[in-house]
Amino acid sequence: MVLAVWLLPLASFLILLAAGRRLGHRSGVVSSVLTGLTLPGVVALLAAAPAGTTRLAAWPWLGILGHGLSLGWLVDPLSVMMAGVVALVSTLVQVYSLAYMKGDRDFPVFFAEISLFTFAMQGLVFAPDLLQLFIFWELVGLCSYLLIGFWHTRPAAARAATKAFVVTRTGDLGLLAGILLLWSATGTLNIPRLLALAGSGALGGWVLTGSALLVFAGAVGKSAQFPLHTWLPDAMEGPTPISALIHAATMVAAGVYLVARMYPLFAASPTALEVVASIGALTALLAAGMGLVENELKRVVAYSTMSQLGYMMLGLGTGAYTAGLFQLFNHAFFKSLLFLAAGSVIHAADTHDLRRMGGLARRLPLSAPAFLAGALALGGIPPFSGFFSKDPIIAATAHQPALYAAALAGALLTSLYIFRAYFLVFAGTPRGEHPGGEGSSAMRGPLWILTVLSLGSGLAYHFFHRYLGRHPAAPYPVWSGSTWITLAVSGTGILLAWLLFANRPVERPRLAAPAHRLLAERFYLDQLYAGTIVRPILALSRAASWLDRRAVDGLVNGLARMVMSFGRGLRRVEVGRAQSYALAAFWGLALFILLLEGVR
Amino acid sequence: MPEAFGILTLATLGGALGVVLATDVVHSAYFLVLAFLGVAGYYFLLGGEFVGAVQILIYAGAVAVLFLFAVMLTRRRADPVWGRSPARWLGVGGAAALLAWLLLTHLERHPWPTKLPPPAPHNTALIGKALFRPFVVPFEVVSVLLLAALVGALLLARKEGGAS
Amino acid sequence: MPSLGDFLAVGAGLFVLGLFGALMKRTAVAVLMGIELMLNAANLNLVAFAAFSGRISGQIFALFVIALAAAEVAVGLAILLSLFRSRATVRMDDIDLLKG
Repeated sequence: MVLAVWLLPLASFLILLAAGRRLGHRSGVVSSVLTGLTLPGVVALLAAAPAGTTRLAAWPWLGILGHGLSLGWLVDPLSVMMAGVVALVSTLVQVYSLAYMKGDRDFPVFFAEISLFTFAMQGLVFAPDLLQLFIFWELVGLCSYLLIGFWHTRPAAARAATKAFVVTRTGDLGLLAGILLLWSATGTLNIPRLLALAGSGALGGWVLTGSALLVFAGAVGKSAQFPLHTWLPDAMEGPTPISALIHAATMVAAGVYLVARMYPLFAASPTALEVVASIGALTALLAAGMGLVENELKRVVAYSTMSQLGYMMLGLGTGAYTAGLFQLFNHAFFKSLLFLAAGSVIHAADTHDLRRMGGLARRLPLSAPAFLAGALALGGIPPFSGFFSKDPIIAATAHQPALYAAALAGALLTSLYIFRAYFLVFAGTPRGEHPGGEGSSAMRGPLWILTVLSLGSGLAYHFFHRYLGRHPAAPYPVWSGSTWITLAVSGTGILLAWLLFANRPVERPRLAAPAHRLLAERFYLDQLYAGTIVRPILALSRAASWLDRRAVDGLVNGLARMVMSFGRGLRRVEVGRAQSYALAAFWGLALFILLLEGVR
Repeated sequence: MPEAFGILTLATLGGALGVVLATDVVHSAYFLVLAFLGVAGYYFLLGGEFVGAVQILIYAGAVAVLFLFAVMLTRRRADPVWGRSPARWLGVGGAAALLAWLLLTHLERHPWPTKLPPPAPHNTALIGKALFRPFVVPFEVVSVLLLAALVGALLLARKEGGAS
Repeated sequence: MPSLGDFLAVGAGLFVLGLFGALMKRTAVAVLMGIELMLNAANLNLVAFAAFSGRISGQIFALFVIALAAAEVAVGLAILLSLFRSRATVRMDDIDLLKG
């Protein structure tokens, strides 16, 4: 069963690799069908792996000094849940792409790469061994690189792909170091065995905390957490379905999945948990602030992804394990919904710029309510799904004032920025030429399904908690003392967004004088709100954005400049003759042996 | 046995020295064959007749002929090591001497076995079994590598933009 | 009776001579010859260890190295030929495409 779920996408990849050109437009259908066929497999797995069970199958393929590295799968509720998300979103996104990518020159390549990604992602999800996890971790990174740079003739896309690759690689270095540390300390990379060691206290002290933090560094890179978050907004250069699949629902959630997978390791170290929670809260707040001043639709949604991933980390870090994972589950659906709806908007409006949209609700009778559903789920308004996961996360921070404040402020900003986007896109009157309308049925179907899921997936909280909670006996805290506060805060955000952005005047050069005055007076109203509420928030957001650009990017650029000047110095030594290099190498070898002699 | 060892040492190291010191590249190639044959002799001495035969076929045969062809197809010119700059002599000679000294002093410090265990009666059969049982994956990988090298060499040596 | 150390010493001598040739020669073909000598030195060590330990794996490794060396020579000489065709030289000092 696992094999079917795992290998069908690989089969699809191989078929498209071999015959993609010949299949032409049918290649997308082949890929979608093969991925869709994995869904019954996931359902069967759900039945085969009831709560609390762990099935492990591993075959050794590489022996080092008696320690075997194995390839296989680990089936437990966590991996089944994640595999289900991957299979479902991947199928829907592929169906959507059938219409969205129609006519693209590299249509078969696109689907081949999506299939490879799905295969790699399932390999990561089922990995029973940290090395296997790392291999597929890198493979999804590669697919992400390929798909961000899918329109590689556009320089911005090529740059963004490289940036994403390099930035996430920085975190991967940490993950690799963490894996090596665990290996040298325990001599095994088998995940259940490692977790048992961590849980029993056999693994402790600085090794435990250090390896947990290093593993978390990998998660920070993959999940675009502060300070390695800079690649995600740029990654929006890729096709929109890719943003929905890789950069919203699955790959970026792999970081959260990794932390959940290694959770006993983190749970045994209070320091590591604190770091996870703090980084999560910081990202949730900063990203929400940056989303507020962004004018490109897809990038707004990208910032919200970062912010929501921050909430997931916050949940895991504060011990709200089920809520954090439930947020991952719900987020996968409502965020891919938001992206796919945004894709329809961009398709119709032919622009990415929020300031040039407006009044699109009439032209997009399905995408508008779909986007609204996604936004309500994101804002955490019951009964939409986000409420059932985000509220418990925020409630779990209630005893830590700093985290609680950050989480609440993040919730306010979240509903503010997403409804700002909603009102700017769909409300008011058009501010530009919008040639297109709703897409074909292949685009509408997935939107429908995801809308229903965004509305309904939250209601499954009871089942979800019983299935993969760490303490399934305890009730899931779906309604707590702080819920009213959270709801009030989110509602305020929506209200503010409506007041500020829904009635924004049409920006035309000259209008009739009375109308102009009227609009101007309205604008005074805006200014009033702007002065009292928005200005401070905007200032905060700008500060966050400035901090990000100057401090974080500055640090990174400074490092790059240092490396470059070092390289320039080295260049003088590089005369380009192979023999000189070899000579230097052998001198190095001789001196190294000499050094060893001296030590002995 | 000691006599055979002495003769082989003379051939091998003498051949190697010839490769390095010969001015003409063609002479270098001939000396190279001598050194290869000497090494093959050691293999026979050590009871590895299959490896010895492969050494003669591949190295003394194929590789040496390849070298001669390469010399023939490129420009032939004198290549004395004597004419190089003192700095290079110092650099290369120093590195070589230092490495030689390190290796030989290491060798001397260790009590090496002198007794050769009796060679296995079916040495070649053993190699065949080993190649196709525990080493079958590397063996196949090497075959793929050789194919890739073949294709790569053809591609590289083909005239640029020439007829396929 | 020669000991294992004697074989290793010959190997060391062969290696150092090959190294000297590879770094000192000007003609690319001669440089490749030096590299072949170094590979032979390593092979000699492998076979000698195999014989004195009574195990077969050393010989297997030597066979693999021979196969790799054959591939290396073929590709190396092919590169040389195309280089000669495009730049009309096989002198190592003229080949400086690696220059930064």
